[in-house]
Amino acid sequence: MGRIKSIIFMIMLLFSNSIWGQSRFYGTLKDENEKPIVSASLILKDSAGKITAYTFSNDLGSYTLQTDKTGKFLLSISSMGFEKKEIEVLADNKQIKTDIKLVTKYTPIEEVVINSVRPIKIDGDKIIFDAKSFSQGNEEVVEDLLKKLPGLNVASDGTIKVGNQEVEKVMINGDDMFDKGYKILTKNMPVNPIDKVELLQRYSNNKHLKGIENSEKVALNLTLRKDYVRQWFGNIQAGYNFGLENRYEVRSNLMNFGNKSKYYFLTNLNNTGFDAVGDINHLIRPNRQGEPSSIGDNQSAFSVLRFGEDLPNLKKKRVNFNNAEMISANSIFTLSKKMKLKLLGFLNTDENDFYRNSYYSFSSGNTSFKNTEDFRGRKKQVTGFGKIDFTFDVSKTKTLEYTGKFNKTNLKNSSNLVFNKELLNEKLQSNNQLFDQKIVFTNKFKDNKVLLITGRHIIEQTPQHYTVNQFLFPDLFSDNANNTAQFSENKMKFTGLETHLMNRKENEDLLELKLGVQNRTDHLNSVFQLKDEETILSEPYGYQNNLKYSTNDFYFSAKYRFKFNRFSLLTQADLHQLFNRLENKDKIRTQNPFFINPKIGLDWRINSKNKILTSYSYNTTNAKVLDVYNNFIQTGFRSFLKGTDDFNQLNASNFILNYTLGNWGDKFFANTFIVYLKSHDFFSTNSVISQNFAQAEKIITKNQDFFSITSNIDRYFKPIKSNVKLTLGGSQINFKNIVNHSDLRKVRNNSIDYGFEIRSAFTGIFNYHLGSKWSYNQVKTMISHSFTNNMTFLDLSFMLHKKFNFQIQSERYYFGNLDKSSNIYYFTDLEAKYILKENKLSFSLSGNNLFNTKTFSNYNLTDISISKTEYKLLPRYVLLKVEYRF
Amino acid sequence: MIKLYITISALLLANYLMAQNKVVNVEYEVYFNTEIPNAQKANLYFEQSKNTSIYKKNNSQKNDAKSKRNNEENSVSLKLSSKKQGYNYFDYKKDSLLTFENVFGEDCLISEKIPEIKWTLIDEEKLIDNNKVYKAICYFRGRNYIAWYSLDYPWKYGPWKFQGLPGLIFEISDETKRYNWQIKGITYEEVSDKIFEIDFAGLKHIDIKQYVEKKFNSKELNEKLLSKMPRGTSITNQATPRTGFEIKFEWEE
Repeated sequence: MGRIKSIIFMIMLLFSNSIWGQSRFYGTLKDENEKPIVSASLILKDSAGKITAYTFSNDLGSYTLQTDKTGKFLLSISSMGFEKKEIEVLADNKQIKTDIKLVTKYTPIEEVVINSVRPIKIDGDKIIFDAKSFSQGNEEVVEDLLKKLPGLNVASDGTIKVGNQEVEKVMINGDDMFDKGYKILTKNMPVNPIDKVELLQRYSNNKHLKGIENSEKVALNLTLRKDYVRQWFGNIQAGYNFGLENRYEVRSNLMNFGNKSKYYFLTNLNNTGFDAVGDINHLIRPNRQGEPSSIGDNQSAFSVLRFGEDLPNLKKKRVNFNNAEMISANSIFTLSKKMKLKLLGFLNTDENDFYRNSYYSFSSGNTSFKNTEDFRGRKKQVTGFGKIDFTFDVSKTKTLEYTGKFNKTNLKNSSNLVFNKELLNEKLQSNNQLFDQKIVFTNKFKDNKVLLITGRHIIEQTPQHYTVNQFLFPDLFSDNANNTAQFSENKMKFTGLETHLMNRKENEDLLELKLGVQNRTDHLNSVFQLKDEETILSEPYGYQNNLKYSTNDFYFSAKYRFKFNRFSLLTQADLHQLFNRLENKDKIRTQNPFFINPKIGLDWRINSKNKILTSYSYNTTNAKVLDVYNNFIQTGFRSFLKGTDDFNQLNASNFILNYTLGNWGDKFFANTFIVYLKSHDFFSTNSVISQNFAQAEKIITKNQDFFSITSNIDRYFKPIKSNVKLTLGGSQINFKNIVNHSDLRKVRNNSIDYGFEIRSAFTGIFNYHLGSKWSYNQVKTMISHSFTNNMTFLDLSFMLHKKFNFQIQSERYYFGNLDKSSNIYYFTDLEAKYILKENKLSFSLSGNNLFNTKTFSNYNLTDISISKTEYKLLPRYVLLKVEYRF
Repeated sequence: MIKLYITISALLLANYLMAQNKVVNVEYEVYFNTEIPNAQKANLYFEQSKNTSIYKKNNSQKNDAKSKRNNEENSVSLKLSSKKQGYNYFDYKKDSLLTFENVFGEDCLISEKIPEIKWTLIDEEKLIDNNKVYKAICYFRGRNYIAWYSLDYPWKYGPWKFQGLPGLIFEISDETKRYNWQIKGITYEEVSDKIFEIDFAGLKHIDIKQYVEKKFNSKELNEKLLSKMPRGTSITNQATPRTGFEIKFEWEE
C-alpha cells in the first residue's frame, strides 16, 4: 500500500514538475540521535531576504517546500532547543532532497515582556479608546467613529447604548452641553478633532462621588486633539406644508468646540405643535433627581390661576395650536486648569390658541344644573432665561461649584367664553420672576468618604392680574357690579443649608448622614374687586388675603444599606424639628412640631428568576401656603378656593411591593407592582356649588385610602417572531368630602384597565405593532356612574431600503358613554424618510391627521358631575422636510 | 544515608517531572466586544515536541470584583456567559481542533479539522517594543485580518484559531479593529500537565456545522428583545447580522 502511494506520489510529482516548472525541496529533519524533529520551521528566502515559502516539519520530521521561482535561495531551519541552521540551495525546477541534521543547543528562553501601544486602555471604570486605532478614514461625524468602537451600539436614530443601557451624556473634554440630547453632538460634530473616546462606567455627576454613591450610569467623554483647528459645524432641518394651511418648522444647531472655549447655538421655530423649549429643557433643569445636594429643587412659587390650557390626552402635534420661536446660546470657558465657567441663555416666544366646547352636568343632593362653555383662548408668552455655572477645583479632592439662574416670563391670556349663551371676556396677565443661587462644596476627605456642603437661596414671585368683563355672582355679593378683577401674588423665599456625609464601607455598604436647615417664607397676597366699569365698588370681606407663612425645618437624616446574601435592606430615618409661623393682618401664630419619617426597604433576590422589592414608609408632610390661607381666592371665572387657616401636618403610610418573574430578555417576563397609600389625614373640600359659581374650602378629614395594582406579562412566540404583552391594572381610591352643606360624603373611585399588544421582530422589510386597551371607570357616591373607553392602535413599518423607509401609525378611540354620532375617532399619520447621504442630507415627508379628523371629545366623571368636552384639532397637513448637515 | 536522600529526592523529582512539563507560555491581551468592551488576558501554551497547543482565556479580569457588584444591582442585564473560560486545543498529529465555547448558556465542545488559513505574507515590517515583526494578511471566516509575526520565534502557533505563520503572532486584529490580540510576554515554564487535559464531562459535543446552526439560526434572543419595545420606539434597522469572530464559513462561501 505504502509503495503504491509513493509511486502515485512520484508520478504526480513528475507531472507537476513538468507542467508547472516548480522546484521542490524535501527531506527529513533529525537530531544527533536520529530522532525526527517535529514542528520545526523551514523558511525559504530569496537573495533579498524575502520569504518565498515556508513550512513546518511534521511528526516524522519530514518537510516539503515548493517554489516556482529559480535561483539561489537560503533555507533557514529553526526549532526550539536546536541551533539554527541556514543552507544555501539552488532552485532549478527540480526536486532536491535534503536531509538535515540539527545540533541540540540549549538556548534558554528568557522571559520576554512586550509593551505595546494599546488601542483600548482600561483604567478602573474608565475605558479609553484611541480614536486613531479605530478609524478607517471614511468617518465623517462622531457617530461614525462610535459605531466602530467595540461594545458601543449606535441605533439608527442615534441612540448610543452600552450593552442594554443608554449613555447618560456625551461630553467634550469633560464638559457637557447636551445631557440626554447628545445626538445633536454625535450626529453633527466632525470626527477629525477627536483624540480619544472615554467610556465612563458607574458615572457620577459629581466627580468626587465616583465609587462612593451607587451609580449604574454610563457616559462618554470625547477628548480633543491638542493640535486641531477649531471649526463651526451644525445642521439645519426645515419643513414646510405645501397646502392651504401655512405650517412650517425650522430647527438649527451650530457648534464650535475648542480646548479653551466651547459654543453651542440653537434655534427652533415652528407652528406644528412642537414645544420649542423642550429642546433645551434638560439644560435648564438637568435631571439630578435623588442626587446629593439637591435641596431646594422641589421649591417653587404657586400660581393660583391658570386657565384654558387643558388639552386632551393626544399627541401634541394634534392639539397644540402654536407659533413658537426659540433661540438659545450656550458656552463653556475653561478659565484655568482649576476654573470653568458655563453660560446658558435662551429667549422663547410662543402663541397658543385653545378651542373647546364643553357640557357640564351637575347633580348632588337637591341641586342639579347644566352648564355649557364655548371657549376660545389665546396665550402669548415671552420667556428669558439665563444660567451661570462656575466650578473651581480647590484641590484634587475639593471642589466648589456655584450655579445661578434667572428667569423672567410674561404671559398674556385672553379668552372669549360663551358661558350658557352669555359672552365673557377673561384676561389674565401673569409674570414669573425667579432668581436662584446654589453653592456646593465637595470634599472627598478620604478615599471612601465624601462631605458635601450645599447652600441655596431662591426668590420667586408670581403676580397675576385677572379680569372678567361680566358679573356672575349676584348670588354671592349684593353690589351692583358688572365686572370683576383680582390681583394675586405668591412671593417665595427659600434658604437652605445642608451637610451631607457619604461613607462607603469596606463591605460596600453605604452610610449616608444629612444635617440641615431649610427656611421657606411665603407671602400670599390677593385682592378681589367688584367693579362697575372702571369704578371699584368694593373689595368684599372674606375674599382678600394678606399673609406671611414661614417654616424653619431643622432636620437630620440617616440612611444605611445593608447587604447579606440575597437580601438587601435599606433603613432610613428623617428627623424634623419644624418652626412654623403664620402672620395675618390681625394675628400671629406659631407652632413647633417634631416628627420622624422612617423608611424601611427590603430587596430579596429569591433566585435569578424571582425578585421581590418592598418598602414601607411613614411620612409627615407640613402644610403649604396654599393650604393655610384664610380667605377665598378666585381660581377660575366661576370658582373660588380657600385654605384651612391653620397649621397642619398630614400623616400617611406608604407600602410598595414589586415582584418580578424572569428577566427582561427572557421569553417570559412578568412584573407586578402594588402600592397602598393610607393617608391618616388629608385635605378634602367643603364646597358650595351652584350654576354660576363654585366655592370650596379645604378641610381636614381622616383616612383616605389609595390602592393600585399593575401587572404585565410578556411572552415571546418564536413561530410568529412576535411578542405578546398583556397588561392588567386596577386602582381604588376612597375619600370623603362635603358638597352643598351635606354631611361628609363617602366617595369611591374604581378603575380597571386591561389590554394587549403584539409586536413583531421580523428581519425583513415589514414589521407591525398592534395593541388595544380598555379602561373602565366607576364613581360611587350614593349612586354610581361608570363608563368604558377603548383605544386601539396599529403601527406598520416598512424598511424598503437602507435609504428609504416609511411608517404608518393609526389609532382608534372609542368612548363608551358618548353619543353614537361622536364616540369614535380615527387618526392616521405617515412618516417617510429618504436618506440621500447618510448623516449629511435627507428628505422626509410627514403627513399628519390624514383622516382630517376635526374634533375630539373627552368624557369625564366625578363625584358631582358628568362632563363632555370637545376640542378642536389641527387639520390635515403634509410637511416636506429637509435635513442638512454643514 | 546521603544515598537514600538522593534516591528519595530523585524519586520525588521524577514524580514532579511527570506531573510537570516545560512548555512555552505566550501571554496575550485581548480586546473585543462582549457586552461592554473589555480587555482580557489569554495564554497560549504549546509543546513543540508533542505538536499540540492550547489557547485559554484567562478568568482573572482587572475589575472583576467591581463588575460583580454591578451585576447584582443591575436588574436588566443579560447574562449568557459561563463561568468556565473558553479554549482552543490544537492537536496537529490528529489534525484536530477542539473549541470550548458557551453557546447561549450551554457549554459546548466544538470539533473541526485544523482550519487551513491562507496567509499572504506582505513585505512590510515594523517594531513592536524593539521586536522586528512582519505583516501577513488573511481572510478567515468572514473577516479580513492583519497579523504581525516575529521570525525570532519560529513557531507556527497563535492566539485563538490563528496559526500557521512562519513565526509567532505578536499582534493580530481584524480590519475594523473590532477584535484585537496583542502579545504581552513569552515565558518558558513548567506547568501542570492538566493544562492540556480536556474535560469532556457535562459538555455538549458538536461539530462545527452543528455549531453554526446553533449559534446563528437562533436569532431568537434579539427578536425577543425587539418585540418587547413599547409603542413609539421604532426599529428602523432590524437586520441582525452575525456577530462574533466567525461570521461566514468555508462551506458558505
